[in-house]
Amino acid sequence: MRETGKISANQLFTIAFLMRIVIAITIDSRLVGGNNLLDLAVSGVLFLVLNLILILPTWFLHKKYPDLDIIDAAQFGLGKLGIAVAIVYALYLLLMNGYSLSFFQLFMENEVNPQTPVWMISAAILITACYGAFLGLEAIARTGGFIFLAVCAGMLFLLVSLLPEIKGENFVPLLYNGPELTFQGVLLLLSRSAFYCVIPLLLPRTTGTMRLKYLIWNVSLSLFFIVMLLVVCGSLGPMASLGIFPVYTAAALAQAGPFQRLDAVYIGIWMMGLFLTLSLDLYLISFSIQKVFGKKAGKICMLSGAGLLVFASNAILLTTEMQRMLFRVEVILPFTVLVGILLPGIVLIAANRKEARNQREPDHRKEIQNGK
Amino acid sequence: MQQGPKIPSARESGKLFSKSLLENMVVFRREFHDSIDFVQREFTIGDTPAAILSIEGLIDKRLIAQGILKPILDAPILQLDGDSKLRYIRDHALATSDQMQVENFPDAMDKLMSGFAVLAVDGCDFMIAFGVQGFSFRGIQEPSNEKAQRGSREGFIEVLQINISMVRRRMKSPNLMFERMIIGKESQTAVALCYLRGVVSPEIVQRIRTALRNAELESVLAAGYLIPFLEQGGIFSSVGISERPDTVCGKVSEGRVAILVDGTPNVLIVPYLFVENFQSFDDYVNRPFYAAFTRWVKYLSFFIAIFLPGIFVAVGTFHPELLPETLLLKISESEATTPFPLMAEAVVLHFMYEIMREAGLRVPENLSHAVSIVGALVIGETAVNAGLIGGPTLLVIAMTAIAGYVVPKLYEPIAILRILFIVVGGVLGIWGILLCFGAVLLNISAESAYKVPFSAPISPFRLRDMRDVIIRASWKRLGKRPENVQEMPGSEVKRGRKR
Repeated sequence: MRETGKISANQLFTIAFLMRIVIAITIDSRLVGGNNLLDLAVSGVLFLVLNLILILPTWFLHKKYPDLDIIDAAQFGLGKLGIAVAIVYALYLLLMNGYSLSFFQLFMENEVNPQTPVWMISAAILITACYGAFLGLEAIARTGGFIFLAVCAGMLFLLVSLLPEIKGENFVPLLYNGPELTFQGVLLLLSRSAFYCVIPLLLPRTTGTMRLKYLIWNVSLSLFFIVMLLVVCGSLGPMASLGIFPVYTAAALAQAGPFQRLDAVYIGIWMMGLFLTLSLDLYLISFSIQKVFGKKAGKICMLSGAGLLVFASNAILLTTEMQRMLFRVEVILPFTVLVGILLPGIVLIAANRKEARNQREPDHRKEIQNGK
Repeated sequence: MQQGPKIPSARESGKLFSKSLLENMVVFRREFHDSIDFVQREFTIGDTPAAILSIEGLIDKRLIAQGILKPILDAPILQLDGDSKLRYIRDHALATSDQMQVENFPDAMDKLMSGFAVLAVDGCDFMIAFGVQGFSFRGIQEPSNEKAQRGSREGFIEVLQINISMVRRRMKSPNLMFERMIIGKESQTAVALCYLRGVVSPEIVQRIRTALRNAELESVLAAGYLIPFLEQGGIFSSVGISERPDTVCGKVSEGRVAILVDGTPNVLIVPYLFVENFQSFDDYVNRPFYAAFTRWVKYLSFFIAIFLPGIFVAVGTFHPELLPETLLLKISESEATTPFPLMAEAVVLHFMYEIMREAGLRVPENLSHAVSIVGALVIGETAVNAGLIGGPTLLVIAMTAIAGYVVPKLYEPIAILRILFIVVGGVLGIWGILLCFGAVLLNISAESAYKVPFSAPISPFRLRDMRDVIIRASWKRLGKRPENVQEMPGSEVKRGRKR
């Protein structure tokens, strides 16, 4: 890998925005067993608040040890057990990549049914993602800047072209069937938020003001999510809650002058977001492993992880039972909560205790700073 | 056959002159291997043997005869010994000439090969080199590869000193620096680093110096020889090339370093960012709204040149539903008669076009019409009429070719990427094109031009810099705060300080 430098807070949140865009445009009320997609707009607001709370363990860890990522901090606080943290992070990222990729394949098989074999598209995505991971964090972050501009333009085009289709009668009252779908929606958003796992690894390599940008990022994402749901529900009506991939359905029905069927724009946005997310995740898998087992092991893990993903994402699609198991909120949620929220908290507590024990040692600070 | 240990030449060993003229002449002849252009004219000053050495074709013979030999022979030095004679010549007889004392063979040979004449006198362990350069060179003309509508008509030529003077004439600042270097073990090519002290980052200058010093080359016959030593090596080059002194001055004033290479009219510019490929001198002379418009034309042309054939193949092969019905019918009607798949057709046509282009570049000018006729009639009309290729494919490739010329600086990557996108579009459809586009973005993003992100100021993004990217703001705004390359977002180098 070519780079060793840092990225800016803007770049970090640009990548995070793209990660969340993929979640937002693939939202489906049927995934949470409900029938009013608009209720998920409330989930978006609640998730905003939750985001501000759930980041606290990671934030405190970073504040206390600004130069250490979670793996370094775990190795300091937990000793040899810290190695397990690196492995857990790599495995979790691999799981989430499998989830995202198989979800995309499921969509392509069921909705698009392209002439090109879907496994070939997946393999091509992973090859490109590996190339990104090989080039390193700075390259991924800068590419994220380009893709962000393209995705924003694409989404704006899509939503604006849907505006004439919006009808007032398509909107149903919020929480008409109770708040259950809203809470399920929050859990769905939370379960798919691999960002919680990414940020403890990237914070020490990020420069710039974080707090304000984190807030802006959250608010803008929630606003985007709400506007998107309003436009989709307003233009599709009951179809938005009944069909799968409602944003895709809306895009397929959209027209803008001579342009018909804007589903290509939708798939383009998803694909670019997915490719960038996979790139970053594969890079972080390599990064986590190389921290404890060396550079070569990191690269091997990254490449073998990508190879595994091609097979796994196809295998998942073979049976409906496998799909149900993986795509259920209850399956992914515990992993996300454990890795993204609890683990930073545990590491913080362990590091604090270790530091307290080391109080008498004169050079313990130095040890911490060196990440020993 | 086993070879004995190599004896270093006088040039390699830095050998000093002997007091004997004969011995020195033997060494010179040996070093030049009795080359026919090495001229050694022997004469006597009084009773002291002397010689004037030069390289045929590099010197002005009349100047030697009238400006050097005549004053020497007229000088009242007949009674002096050899050493004193040469000192008298140096300090009195030719004191006003362009001259310098040389003490060893390497220096003398460098001077000889740079067009100096060297005067050697028996009994002296030094020589005097006179600047009598008189070789012929091409006159200053408008650069054919970088024409401007409203700018200067002057372009660089092959002579380094004249190129330096062209830059100096435009920037009369004592902070403008030219640093001389010699690169190429055999060619000993003179290279000049040009930068504006106080504006350029000293770190960048140092890194360029190091990169050039480490360039292991036998000969440097063109500026392009040095490019691989100055860039990281992505698809797009982070080293710019210009033939225009005004463009070079503009770049130098923005904190860049220009590298002038003797023997070539192309000047290298580093660091060079991706967006600069879309900027031309005319942009800054034309009115801002028109300059902004032409810049967008360039962006559009770049995308057409790279993506259009690939998208055409992908859509025609895998996603016909994306096309309006009428257009789809026209394309399918035309393609139904051709024997090849769309991808093969596009690739073959593209190669045919590149062959014609290469032929057009290399063929003698009086044959170029024949190439054009064969290209237009045989390839274009006959192939379509015979049903070998489809009209829409030909149209797409032709449009692509023309679009590629709008951004000539990017022609090389465009030509390669175009084929790549055709193949990927034909194999994976629009999905492949999107992914390939992602890979190209990654490649651009991974590159750093001397610690300045190659993709700046788009990513990392800074709104203020868009005044010369999305639009071309008026000089009233551009002039207030000149954009310095080290101040680009994401840059890790700092601007130097004026002394």
